[in-house]
Amino acid sequence: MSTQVEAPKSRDVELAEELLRGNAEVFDEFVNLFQSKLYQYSLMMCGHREDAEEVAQDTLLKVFENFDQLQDARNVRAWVFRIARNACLMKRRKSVYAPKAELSLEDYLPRTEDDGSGLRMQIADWSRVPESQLLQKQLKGILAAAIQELPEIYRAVLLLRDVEELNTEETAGILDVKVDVVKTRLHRARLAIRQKLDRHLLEASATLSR
Amino acid sequence: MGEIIGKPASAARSIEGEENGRGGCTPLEQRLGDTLDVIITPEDMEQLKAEMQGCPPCLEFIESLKATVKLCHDFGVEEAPAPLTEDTRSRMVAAYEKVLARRRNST
Repeated sequence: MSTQVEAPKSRDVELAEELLRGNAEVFDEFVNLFQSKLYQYSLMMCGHREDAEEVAQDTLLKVFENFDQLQDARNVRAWVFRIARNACLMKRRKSVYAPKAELSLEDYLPRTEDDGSGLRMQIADWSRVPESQLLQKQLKGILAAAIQELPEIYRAVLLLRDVEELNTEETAGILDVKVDVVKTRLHRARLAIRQKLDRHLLEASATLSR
Repeated sequence: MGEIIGKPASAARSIEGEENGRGGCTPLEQRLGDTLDVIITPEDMEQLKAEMQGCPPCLEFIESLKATVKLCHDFGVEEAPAPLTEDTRSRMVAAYEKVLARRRNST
């Protein structure tokens, strides 16, 4: 007989359980934890601080208005982000800060060149990226800009899967798309982001070698 | 600074299908997403790994993709949201209390 070991609960799940039990003492901790997450997601989706703050607050208000609809505390993050996603869509429809047009993802995907000797794609040297805090900081800025420049459908998937670390099924549920669609969009989004960072690393190396 | 960035541009690698004799890496590149998202079977994964052993640029590409995902995991915006106003917090507390009361009344 095999015994299944249950994964330790994350803090957000513990807090949701307490709130479902009626323990209001954890109210502020829950709000603080989710306000930061929601603000980050909304800022990257809406691109403007004021909009992001409003979306985070509207989402939290809706969360508490409908808290009894949360059937299982383990789903709290997916449930909250589903509400946030809808709040973001509403905000983007109304906001004066919403972009009028989006660039195509093709602008960000890796380019291959055919110089007559076969397909060729340049890759920068990434081997020292994880070691350097300074480079991490530089890359963080590039990463933020790259995420914000992604077309919305790709940005949403990348933020939920790779930044918020929701699983593929949860992400599909939040975005109302099939699991395969999430996988495809995530792959394309990662390639696009990698390409942006790669370009930055190549340029930085070229500057240094001068 | 130079030490941080690493090798100069001249050291940049390239994926060249003709050079490594595998007829191009574009299909491999397309399959990378599957490996990272566990779509493919373990058998296919083993085969893919074996294919890649002969292609150092492919391995570097995968490492760069993994590093990208890790950077995303570690990502966080530096600025914090403005604290909730007392009015907003009160509305949230009231909404939560209303839900609790609704639940009490229904049981």
